[in-house]
Amino acid sequence: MKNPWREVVRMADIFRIALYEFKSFVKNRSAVFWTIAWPILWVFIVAYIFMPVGWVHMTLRVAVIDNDRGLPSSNASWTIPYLNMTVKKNFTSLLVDTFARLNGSNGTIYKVKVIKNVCNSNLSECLSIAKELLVNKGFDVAVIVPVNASKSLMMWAPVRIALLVKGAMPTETYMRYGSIMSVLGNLMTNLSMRRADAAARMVTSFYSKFLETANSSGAWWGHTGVNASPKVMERYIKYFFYSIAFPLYPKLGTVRPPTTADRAGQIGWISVGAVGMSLMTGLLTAGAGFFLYRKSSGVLKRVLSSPATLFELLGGDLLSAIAISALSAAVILGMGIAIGGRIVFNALNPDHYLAIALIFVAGIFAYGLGLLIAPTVRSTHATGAATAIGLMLVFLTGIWWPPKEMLPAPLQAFANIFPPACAFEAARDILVWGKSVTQTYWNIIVAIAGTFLLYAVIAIIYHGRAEKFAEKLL
Amino acid sequence: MAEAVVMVENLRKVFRDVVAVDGISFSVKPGEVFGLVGPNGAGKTTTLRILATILKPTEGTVLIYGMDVVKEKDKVRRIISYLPEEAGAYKNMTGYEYLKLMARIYGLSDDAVREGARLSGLGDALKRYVGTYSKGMKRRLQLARALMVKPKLAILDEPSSGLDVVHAVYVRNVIREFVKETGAAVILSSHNMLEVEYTCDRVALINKGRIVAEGTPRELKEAFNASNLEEVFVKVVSQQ
Repeated sequence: MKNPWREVVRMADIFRIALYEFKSFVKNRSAVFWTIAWPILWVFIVAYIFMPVGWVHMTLRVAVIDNDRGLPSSNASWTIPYLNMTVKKNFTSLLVDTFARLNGSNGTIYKVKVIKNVCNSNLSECLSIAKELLVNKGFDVAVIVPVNASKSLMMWAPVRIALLVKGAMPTETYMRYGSIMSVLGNLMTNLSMRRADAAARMVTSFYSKFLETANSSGAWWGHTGVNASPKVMERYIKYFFYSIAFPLYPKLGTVRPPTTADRAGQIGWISVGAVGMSLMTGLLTAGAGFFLYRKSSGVLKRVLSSPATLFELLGGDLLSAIAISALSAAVILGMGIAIGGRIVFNALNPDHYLAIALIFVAGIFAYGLGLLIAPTVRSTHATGAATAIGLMLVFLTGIWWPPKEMLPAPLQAFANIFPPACAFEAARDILVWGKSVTQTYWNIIVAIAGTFLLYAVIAIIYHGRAEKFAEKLL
Repeated sequence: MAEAVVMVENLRKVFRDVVAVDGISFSVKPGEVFGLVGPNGAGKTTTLRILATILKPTEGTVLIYGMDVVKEKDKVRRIISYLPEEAGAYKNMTGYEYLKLMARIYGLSDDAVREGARLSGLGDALKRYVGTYSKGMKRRLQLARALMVKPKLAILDEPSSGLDVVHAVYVRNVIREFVKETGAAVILSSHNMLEVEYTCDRVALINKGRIVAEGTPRELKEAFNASNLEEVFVKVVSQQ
């Protein structure tokens, strides 16, 4: 019959081994660097390089190829009759002013350069020059302003500009296109509304004259007195023309979690991702090097011939790895908070403790993944490969960057069944989005069940073979 | 007659196509220091590893105090202590911490740790990190670790390998005193014939996986008409 006290003693052995492994880690500068300093470095890089204070999404260098002849002379102007409106600026000036007015809004900085007299209103020549500017001169967008742009503007005729947008990837092209169109759209809205106002006033002015004549004669209508006032008419006409210009007038809003609504929240988000990076690389490597590290430090043979069982050694190693991860997580999150990050944790919400536990489930999975390849690891190069695998996984499953939603479909499908990715998604659902456990239960199930399954596979592989694996390294 | 501590019968170990140990048999009594000597690749280390339960024999039986090293390895591990040739220690621990960890793994108290400190003879150096130790100091620490747990059988693979005279003499003396005080058995391997002659009660010469001669140092010298074990060693090996 098994002595139950023996099990207690075994647990005590495991804790002792874990404690000494932990102490050994703390004194190992290389291990401390990769597990703690490296992820913190990433938090700093993201916070101060990719998201500096007052950061913008992007900077666009815009080349405006100006073929416009402009107004007849620099002092020329054109007065619109009935309106007392005088147009003094040419189209290109209006365009540049619009860029300047919207500079920095929507997270984009526009650096505009007007280039004149480079192509003689020949569109294909202009496009060729525009392409040259984009490819070789560092511009991101080229806007080609045609000849007679100002005249068309004044005549209320369409101004046929041409756009060329540079982008290495489709997403980059769309982002730049969207940004430029927001500027052009703003200019179009401005012009349309002015024209609608002007048209309404012209029609009203005509209508006033008409009413005067109709009311005075009476005969033409067959009766006297038309009741609609010019002001009512003007308002009706104005909105009629507005609706021609803007058949749809959407009001845009966004739904964002409070955690990522601002830079502080975003740094907090990234800090959680850094914890994921630390766990996935550190624990995976620790598991992969279970036999090798003991061999390289010269203790494998003696430990194998000692009363400590492999189970105790593995248990102690895993426990110390979890303790190291806890230390690493605390330091990383602490640094994230110190540089302005906001991590939302409600100590009164039991779901938030589950979220923390899920993060450690991910770490335990990573260690198990390392154990799977440990029997094949014969050198430190191989453990380097384990670190690379861990890094790859955090980038390809949405644990670090990019978020899962931005991954291609096959990787998203993989992330949906990869337990650590599910664990982090559930943790973020709870800590960031404020969801309850019931709303993210599927991620929790995959994370926990997947980890159990992995360790069941490990138990099958290692049962009766563990010492053979070690023997091969002797 | 005292029960043999070690009983090895027809031990054979094959690694793929290489026969490392080819049917050797020997026994070791309590309170005896038994030496395994032989050239490089003779099978000494393989034999000791099998006794230490970290390798499984291909054929044959190895009993330590009547317990099979394969079937009852957990029990065997409680009464043996193994010092490999290239033993290391956690270099980020102090010598004292290392001894303490090993004592705890064997379920021993601080008394064992103090004994280990005494055996090592390292004094205040035990407060320093193992990574700062010289080779001789590390070996003394390892030997102390091996003996402090008071094993009934200590398996020492080249205990004084690479040590200077001072450290080698220290190691030798510690082994002899340990055996004298505890009545335990020691089985060691060595290339140092002088050490073997001074330390071992009985010696087995092993070459190409087989025991080619066995006896006390005096018996071997007489049998081979040699003045020292080195001559015996050379004669035996050259005959093979």
